[in-house]
Amino acid sequence: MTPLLQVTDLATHFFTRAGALKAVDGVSFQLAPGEVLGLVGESGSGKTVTGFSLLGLIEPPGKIVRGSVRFEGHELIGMRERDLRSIRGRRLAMVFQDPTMTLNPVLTILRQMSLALQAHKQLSNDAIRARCIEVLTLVGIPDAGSRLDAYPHEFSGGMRQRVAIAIALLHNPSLIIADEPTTALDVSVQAQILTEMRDLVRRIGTSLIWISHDLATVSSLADRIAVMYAGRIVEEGPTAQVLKQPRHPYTQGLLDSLPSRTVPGQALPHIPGMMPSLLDLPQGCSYAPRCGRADDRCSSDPALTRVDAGAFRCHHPIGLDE
Amino acid sequence: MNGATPFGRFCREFCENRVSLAAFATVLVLVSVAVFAPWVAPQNPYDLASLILADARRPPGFLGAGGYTHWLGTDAQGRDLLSAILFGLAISLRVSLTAGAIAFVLGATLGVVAAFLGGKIETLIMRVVDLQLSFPALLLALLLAAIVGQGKTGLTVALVAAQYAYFARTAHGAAIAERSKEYVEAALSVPLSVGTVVFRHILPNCLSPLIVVATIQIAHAISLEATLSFLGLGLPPTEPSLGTLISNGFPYMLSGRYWISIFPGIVLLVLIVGINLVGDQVRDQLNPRFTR
Amino acid sequence: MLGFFIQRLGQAAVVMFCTSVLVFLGVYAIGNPIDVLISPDATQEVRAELIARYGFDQPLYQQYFGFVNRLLNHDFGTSLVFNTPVTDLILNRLPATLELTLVAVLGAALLGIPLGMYAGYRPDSRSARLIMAASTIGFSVPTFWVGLVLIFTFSVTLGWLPAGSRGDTVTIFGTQWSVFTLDGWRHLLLPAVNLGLFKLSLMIRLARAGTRELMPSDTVKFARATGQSEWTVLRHHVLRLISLPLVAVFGLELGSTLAFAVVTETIYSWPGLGKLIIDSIFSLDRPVMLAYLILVTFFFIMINLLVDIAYVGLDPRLRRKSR
Repeated sequence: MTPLLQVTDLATHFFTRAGALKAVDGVSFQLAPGEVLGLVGESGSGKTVTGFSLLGLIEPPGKIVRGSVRFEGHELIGMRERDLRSIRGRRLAMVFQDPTMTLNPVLTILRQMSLALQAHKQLSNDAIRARCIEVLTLVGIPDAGSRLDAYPHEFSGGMRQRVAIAIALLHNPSLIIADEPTTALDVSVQAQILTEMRDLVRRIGTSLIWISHDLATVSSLADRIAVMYAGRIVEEGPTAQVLKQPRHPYTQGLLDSLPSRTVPGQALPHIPGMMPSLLDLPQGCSYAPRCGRADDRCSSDPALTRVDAGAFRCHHPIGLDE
Repeated sequence: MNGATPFGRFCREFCENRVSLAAFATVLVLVSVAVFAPWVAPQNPYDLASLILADARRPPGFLGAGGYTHWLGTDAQGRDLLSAILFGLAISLRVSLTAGAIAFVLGATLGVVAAFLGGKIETLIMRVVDLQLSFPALLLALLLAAIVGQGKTGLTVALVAAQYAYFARTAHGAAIAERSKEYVEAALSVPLSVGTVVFRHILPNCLSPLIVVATIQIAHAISLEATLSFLGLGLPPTEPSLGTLISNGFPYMLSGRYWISIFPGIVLLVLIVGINLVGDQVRDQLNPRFTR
Repeated sequence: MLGFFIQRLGQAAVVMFCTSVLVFLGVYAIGNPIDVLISPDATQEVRAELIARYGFDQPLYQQYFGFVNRLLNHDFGTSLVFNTPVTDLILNRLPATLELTLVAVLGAALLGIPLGMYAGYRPDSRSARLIMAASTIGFSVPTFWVGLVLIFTFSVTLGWLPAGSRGDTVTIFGTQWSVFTLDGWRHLLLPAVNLGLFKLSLMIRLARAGTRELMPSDTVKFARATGQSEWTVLRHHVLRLISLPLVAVFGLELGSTLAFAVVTETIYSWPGLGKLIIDSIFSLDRPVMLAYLILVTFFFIMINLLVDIAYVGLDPRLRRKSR
C-alpha cells in the first residue's frame, strides 16, 4: 500500500549571523493512511521544524535545503506556493501548541473558522455556520451554535485548543500534524484531549503526527514512534517495540527518566549533559558526548540500520551490540 | 582594551552603522561650527554697525562692500547670511539644549519621586503629567509664550513645560519597575536613606529609557524652538535663531529671493535629521528586544 | 458597556470643570480681568455696562458661576480687535480648519497604513527601505519648513498651485466648504499635504512596526497553515490587530495636528482658527485666546473619549460581558 506521506532525507537549515543552524538534518520516515506517528524529542531536537517543513511554512533565514516530501502522490518540496496553499488546511492541517497565541483575539470563533473554510471553498453563510457547528460538536464543544459568536478569551484553555482542532478538521484533511497540542494545558485537560483525539482520528481515519517531548503521552496513542535528537531521527519503530526494546541509548535514557518507571524514594535518573548546539554539532554521532556506551567508533556518523519493523542510528545498539 | 567596557562596546557597534556614523559626524561639525561661530563667521550679525544696508538682499556669491564674499548671500538687513546662520545655529542649540536639560532633570526627578512617594501624591502628579501629555506641545508652548511674552526666558519656560512630561512619565514607569526589585528592599534594610537609594541605585537603572526619550526630545526641542521663532513667539529679532531667519526670509521667497529662507532651512533640516538618525541608532542599540 | 460609557463621560466632565476653573483663575493671573477683557479705549459708559454684565464687581465665586453660565450660553465675549462676538468669529473660521485638518488626517491614514504595512511585510525590499527613509525625513522635518519648500517648488518655481488662501466654496447648511470645488482642492492640496506629512510618516512607522511584529506570530502562522492567502492574512488578521495601537496614536496625534494647523494656516494664509489664534496672540485679543483655549480643551477631551470608545470597540477583550 502506498504510504500517505513519504519523507526522505529532509533537511532544513537556518542561516543566521552566527552560522548555519542545522535544525533538521536528514530526516526520513513514512506514514500510512490512518496511522498515528509520535515524533518525540527534547527542545531543540528539530521536531517542530520538521512539522513546519512538511507544510512549507519555513520563513527566512530558514530554508529547506534538501530532501523530498511526497504527500498523496505529490512532491511538496519545490511546489508552487499557490498549489501548496491549496493543500494546506485542506488535505494537510496543523494544530499548534498554544491556542491562546494561535487564535486571533479580536475575531469571533465564527469569523476565524469562516476564514479558514473560505480559504478553500465558497459557501453560503448558512452552510458555513452549519459546518462550523458540525466540527465544533465533533470535538466536544457543547452548545456549539451559541458559542460561535464568542471570542477566544471567553473560552478556557482546553476549549480553545478544541476550537483549533476543529479548525483543522474543517476540510476533512487526510493528515493532521499536531505540535505539542496538550503541553500548554492543565494536566487534567491534557488527558481528556489526548483520549478524545485518539478516538476521533480512529473514527474518521485521519493520519496524525503527534509531536511531543513526552514519551509517556505519545505512547498511549501512537502506532509508531520516532525519536529525534539534534536534527536527526535516531530511532523509530512500532510503539510497543520502541518502548519494550529500545535500541538507541537516548531512547533508553528517555524511558528511564519517566517518573512511572522509577521506584518511589529513588532518585529520578536523567541523561547527563545537554544537547549540542545545532550550530556546532560534533563530528560523528551527535549523541556520543552524553552516551555511556560511546567509544572511538562513535566518531564516525552512524548509518541508519533497519531491524524488525524499526530502524536506528547507533554503533552500539542496545541488545544488538556484540 | 577597546570594547571591554559596555560604553566601549556601545561605541564600536555604533560605528558599524555607517549612516548613523555619518550623521553623527555631521551633527558634530554643525555643533562645533556653532560653538566657534564668533571666530569662524566673517561678520558679527549682531553688531548693527557692521551691517551695510545697501548690500541687503544680495544673492549668494556676492562680493560685498565689507570686502568679503557673501557665500550665502545677505538678508533683508544686509546681514551676511552665513554668519547669521552660524550665530542662529548657536542660539538654537543653546536654547533647545538648555531647555531640554532642565526638562530632563525636572521630569526625571518628578517621575522618580512620584514613584517613590506612592499613594495619593503619586496619583496626583501622574494625573497632571498624563493630562499634559495629551495636550500637544506646540499649543502649550504657544499659549505659555503668549502669556510670558517674547524673549529667551519665555521661550525656555515654554519648551521646558512642553517637554518635562515625557521625561516624567518615562522615569516614573522605570522607577516603578525598579521599585519592586529586590535590591531596593535590600538597600533600604541596610539601612540606607531613601535619598541615597533613589539617587545612587534606582536612578542609574532608569537612565536607559530616559536616554531613549532624550534622543527623541532633542530633535523635538530644536524643531519646536524653530517653529515658535518662526511664528514670532521665540527669540527677539535682534538675536535671530534659525527659525527667525527663516521667518524673516519668507516674504522674499515669493519674489524669488529664496536664499534668505532656504539656506537656514537646509541647515536646520540637516541638524534635525542628523540628530534623529543618531537617535534611531542609539535607540536600537539600547532596545533589549532587538537581540544581536 | 453603558456603565463604561457613563463613567468616561463623567471623567470628561470633571476634566472640563477643572479646566474651566483653571482658565477662569488664569484670566485673573494675567492681570485685572477688566483690563484683559475690555478694550482700553472703551468709553466709561461701555466700561460700566460691561462691568455690570460680567459682574466684575461681584465676589469671585459668583463671577465664576457667571462665567460658566456664559460659556454654556455660547457667550465668549466680544473680540477686542474685530468688535464682533467671539462665538461668531470662531464659527466663521471653524469650517476652514476642520476641512484642512480632516483632509490631512484622512489622507495620512489612508495612505500611511497600507504603505507601512507593506514596509513591514517585506522589510528588506528596496521599496520598503525607501518608504522608511522617506518617513524618517517626513518625521524629522519641521512643518513650517516643509511648507516653505512646497510653496517654493510648486508655486514660485513651477507655478502649478496657488501659494495660499482658500479656494472657491460651496455653502452647505449655512457654512462654507471648499472641498466640493475643484478650485477649492487646488488651494487645499499644498496645505493639506504639509499638515499631513508628519502624521503620514508616523502612520507609516507605526504600521510597519506593528506588521513586522505580527508577521512571525503564531496567529499569522496558524492562519497560513489553514491555507488562507497572504492577502486574507494581512487584511483580516494583521490589519485588525494593528488597528488597536494605531487608533490610539491616531487619536492622540489628532490633537497635535490641530496644533500644527496653526503653523500651516499661517504660512498659507488659510482663513482658519489657527491663523485666528496667532493673530490674537500678537494683537493681545484675549477674549479670543480664552475662547480658543476652552474650545481646544473641549475638543481634546472629546477626542480622548472617542479613542477610548473606539478601543473598546476594537478589542473585545476589554469588554465586560454580562453573560
